Amino acid sequence: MKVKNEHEYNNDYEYIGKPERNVNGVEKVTGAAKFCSDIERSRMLYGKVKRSPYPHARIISIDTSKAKVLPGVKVVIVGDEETAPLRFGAGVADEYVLARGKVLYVGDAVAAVAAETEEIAEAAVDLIEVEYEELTPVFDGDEAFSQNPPAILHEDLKNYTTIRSVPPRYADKRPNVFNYFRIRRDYDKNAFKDADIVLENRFEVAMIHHVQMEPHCGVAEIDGTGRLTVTGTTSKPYGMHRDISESRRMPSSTVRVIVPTHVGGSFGGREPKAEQIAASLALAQKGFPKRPVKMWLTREEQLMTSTTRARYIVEIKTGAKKDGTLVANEMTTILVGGAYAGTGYLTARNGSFGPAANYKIPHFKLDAYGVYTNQRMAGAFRGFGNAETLWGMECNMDMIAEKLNIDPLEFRLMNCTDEGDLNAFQEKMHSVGAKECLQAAARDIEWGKKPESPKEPYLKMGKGIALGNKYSLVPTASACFVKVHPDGRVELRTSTVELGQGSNTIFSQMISEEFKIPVSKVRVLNPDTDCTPFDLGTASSRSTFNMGNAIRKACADAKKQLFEIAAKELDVSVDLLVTAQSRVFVKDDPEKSLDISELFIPMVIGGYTLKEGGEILGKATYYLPGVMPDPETGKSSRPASFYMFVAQAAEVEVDIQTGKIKVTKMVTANDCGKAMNPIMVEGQQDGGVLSMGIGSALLEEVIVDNGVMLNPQFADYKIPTTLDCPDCDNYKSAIIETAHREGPWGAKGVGEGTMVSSAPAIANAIYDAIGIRFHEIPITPEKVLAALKEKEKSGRATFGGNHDKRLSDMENK
Amino acid sequence: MNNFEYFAASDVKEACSLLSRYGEEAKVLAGGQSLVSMMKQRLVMPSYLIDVKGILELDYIRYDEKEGLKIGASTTHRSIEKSPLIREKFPMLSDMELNLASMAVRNWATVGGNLCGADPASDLAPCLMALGAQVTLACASGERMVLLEDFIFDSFETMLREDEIMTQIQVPAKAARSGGIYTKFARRATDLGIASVAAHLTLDESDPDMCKDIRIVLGAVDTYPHRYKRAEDLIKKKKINDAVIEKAAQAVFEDCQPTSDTNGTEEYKREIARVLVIRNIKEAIARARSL
Amino acid sequence: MERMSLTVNGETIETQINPGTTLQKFLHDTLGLTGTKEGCGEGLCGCCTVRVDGKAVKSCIILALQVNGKSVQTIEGLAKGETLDPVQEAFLDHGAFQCGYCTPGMIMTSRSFLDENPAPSEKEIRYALSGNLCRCTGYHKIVKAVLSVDPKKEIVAK
Repeated sequence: MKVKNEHEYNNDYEYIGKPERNVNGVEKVTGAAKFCSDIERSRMLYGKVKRSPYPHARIISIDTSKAKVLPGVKVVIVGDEETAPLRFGAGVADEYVLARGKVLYVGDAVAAVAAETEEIAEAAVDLIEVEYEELTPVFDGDEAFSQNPPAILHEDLKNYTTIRSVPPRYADKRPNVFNYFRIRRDYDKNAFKDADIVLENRFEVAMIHHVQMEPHCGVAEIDGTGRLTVTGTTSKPYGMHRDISESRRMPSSTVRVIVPTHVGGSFGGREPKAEQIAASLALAQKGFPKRPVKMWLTREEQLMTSTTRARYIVEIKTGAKKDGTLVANEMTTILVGGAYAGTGYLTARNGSFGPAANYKIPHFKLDAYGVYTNQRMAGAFRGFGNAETLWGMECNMDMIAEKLNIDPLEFRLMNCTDEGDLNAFQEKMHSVGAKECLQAAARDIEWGKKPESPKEPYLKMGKGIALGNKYSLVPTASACFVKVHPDGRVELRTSTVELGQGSNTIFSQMISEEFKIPVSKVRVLNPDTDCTPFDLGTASSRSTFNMGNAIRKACADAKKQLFEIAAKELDVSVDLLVTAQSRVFVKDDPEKSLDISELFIPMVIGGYTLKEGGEILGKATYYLPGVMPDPETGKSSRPASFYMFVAQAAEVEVDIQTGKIKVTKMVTANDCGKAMNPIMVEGQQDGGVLSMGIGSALLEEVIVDNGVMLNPQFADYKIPTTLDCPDCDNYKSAIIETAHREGPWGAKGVGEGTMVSSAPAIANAIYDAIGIRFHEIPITPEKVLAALKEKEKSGRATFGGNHDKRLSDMENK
Repeated sequence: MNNFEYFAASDVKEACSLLSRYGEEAKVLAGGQSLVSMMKQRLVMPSYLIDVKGILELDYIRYDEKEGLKIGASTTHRSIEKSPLIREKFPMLSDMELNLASMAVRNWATVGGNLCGADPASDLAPCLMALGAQVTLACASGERMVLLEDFIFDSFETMLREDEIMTQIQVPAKAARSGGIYTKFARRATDLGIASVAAHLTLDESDPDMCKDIRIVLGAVDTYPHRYKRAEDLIKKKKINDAVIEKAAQAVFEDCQPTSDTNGTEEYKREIARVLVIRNIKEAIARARSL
Repeated sequence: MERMSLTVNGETIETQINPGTTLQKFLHDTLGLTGTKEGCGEGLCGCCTVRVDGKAVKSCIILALQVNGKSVQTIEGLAKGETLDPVQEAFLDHGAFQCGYCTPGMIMTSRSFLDENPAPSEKEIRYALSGNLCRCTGYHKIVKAVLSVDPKKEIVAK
């Protein structure tokens, strides 16, 4: 266990850091767990969507007359003033719940139906006739980014409403740019003056899908008073709450959002489109009573139309001295987004944090853009742009190390940030586990030791390593309530969504630690805007830190109330009291004690009450505004709440006759601050590396032709199976605990740092094996074979990523 | 799914009788691991479904030195996978099953259903063709035997008549000095193949370097699995060496007709086929020699 | 409508169904046994895995009528009263799940496999579970959990 600064934290806890069993585990292993998609309500209607077959078109007319009269059809809606009065969006409000005027991607929702059965709803959708006038689409990132793109998606972009706290910034001459962010640290034309070598390269990343095992689902219900409740698979209940109410001009408290305790994954991809359409269908009903409407995307619909990780273009120029010291780094990153910005607006900006914080680089320039293209929404994915930008950086760094004849591990150890270093935001870094992560990964992969000789002459082996980091965003706020029940049990009301990461379990552990009661005596409610207060969202690996801090504060508040009541009963001073095992007692005189139940007064007829205060209900907000980066330089003393570091190393076996790549060994070391529960941390590491890391590097790609996804099913969209991962003995994970002075018990987070360095670690290993540098992922067997044949023919050892192209080429057209 | 009428046949006679009545608009349901999925997507919309999965008399695996291996059409893939008999006599079949779909699918899907489905990327068909299999087709008026390599003749097309069901698959007894192997190249181990090769050969009794007989069958690189006779003729009755094997592989490279799709281009699939043929023939020889 | 009779989790059920009803829809929608989930509808992800006469099968590509007269076990029927099955306990011990959507299918496949092969190797387990997709766990803890149920070995340390 590593504690890295003067803020030492006691490691001797009763519940913190312990491998407690998942508190929701029994439901999950017995089939009792109910997911949103399991919801069945009496007289429920089923929703289906009419989608655009064109990537870019004007809607000339929509004829719903035949659909409306199909027996069993109850509601038919289109994008009009009644159904979709206002746009909504995470940062820029650019999206209507159903398209109005134009459709901007194949799959864009144009109309929707609610009917007695899914089959009837589908049949009704087929009966809706839409007339379109096709427009030229733009798919290519370079073209979309250019000053004269073949298509402009949002002509009126400058007049759209934007969010006040982190508003997007546009680029005057580039009409499809929906966000622009820049960093300039000590940068002028002499930036590379002291560099002995300069390497300039371009890298790309393919679009991939989150593939949450439960496809997106929403159930909208309107009660007898006309109040709307939406239950969904969203990871941001309050974000969805705002989008639903504000885009319909509904006062916010007239809408209720619920997320079940069981949600089938998120990984950053839960744009609440299904919930939004379900809400519109429910609200469009005439007459009483209103029937519930369920909108559940099919797997194919989910893969074809729901948000993905965006394609990325990364152009990078890095300079270093002969001895390996980094001198300067210049980057342009393009998040090739979809038709609506969604979370892409923030991802485009915040993907810059990874490169900004990885290394000590005195001269740093970065221009990050997000652009619209006529594809479905693309943006946030585990890593929030950082896996994509670090893909470029970590490949380039490996190439520099090679050119300088310095071991890639030593090169990184020499240059990585450490406690107290300034990053490119000129922020003084705190809680940095980079070195420890690198050393642990190197140890576990046996760095420096050649792989075992392969059995066949056509198999080549190699090892690679990569460093990464993931920030967690500011401004951020999390609130919670902690209730102490008369039976001595404690209840947490939080809007953090239990996605499987184990938030309910670690929050229970936190409360157990505060109240010294077993985890079995803690209950965590599921998110419900009627009783669980605001949380920014279960994203950005922020919940342990932010909600954890809110929980500590709320526990303190609850204990204060508890002790005030008990002090009166025990006739002692409040500050002498402590609580444990559902009792309150004087710390140095434990005989002087009361059971919590004794603090409540039994009332005639029934029940227990307090004399004043209502309940023992601790409340707290943990609000961390941070410091907004300077718009010109990005300078900020607190652009993020914290950084998680990660180092990963891979050993690969390449079949040079077929191009097949096997990851024979893979290791990860993640700096998460104090690990709340090692099983939960390991779970994040495992999934990040073995599913998405290997998947994104070698197997996964949303293959698109003219805006249409060609592989929207599991046969052809390939996520790793049990046979695609290294054996248990050949995969190792290390937990590095570099305490954060502001984290609850020193904790930070872990969720996303788990895959931001996986792809470059694998690609660097492939280079070690066969001497080819891949500039794009996924690295498929066909690409490997083509690259090997090219190398044999022309000596060229670079493949993919449009590495000969430059964004600036478009300016000359 | 469309509306259809369902019948469960309890024996071959009943199945044939139902088929002769409804044949044209009926589909035979065995494991249904392909059919049910296609019906859900409305790619296939039969008016009648005749369920033959329950025909227990067709669930068997038998072997004798004279008649060889006999497998009832209702036998599941999992039974093939776990049969010690098949593991001993025809290990290439056992190995092929390991990578066929998944265990749960193999628990339910039948070998008869697989062959009658005639998926271009079937794993079973190339294997059995390489082993010289024959299939028995029964109808109300009798039965006939057909070579498997003739039975499947186009994409999802077989010689099965509307009023027939497959009852048995028969493979000649294991010959001395014979060996075979099936490998499938796919992005993930249990995917449908990008290219798959079944190679089975018998060595000459007196000359271990001489190939007496060989069958090379590929799946996934054409509209249906079939033998590559031009390649076979380059090895059959010849002394086997690297150059001969390369020539045969080159013949396959030229003769196969893969199509480009999201799993690979035509050129890539050809090259994989070529590589697999070389590797598999070498392995088949090694296995033939090791006994 | 066709008549059918089957046992589900030990309970005899006599019912009439539309022939086009898959076993998964029958279990999940008609009987309300929501543990058997639809994850793809094509038999590729394994979320719908149940046991028919002890064998793991993909219920979303099996017509309910095909299990007429047979015995079906879903995840809800795995525990014996209040006592969880050793596979369920192993999953809990190892934290071999996260969101839990694939978990019922994963457990049913594991249970069926272990009944046939009580002392498997890791490779055999990976092959048995190759038809159950999981996005959260990377399978590492799942494989460890199933390995630990081996009666011939001691419970593997986490």
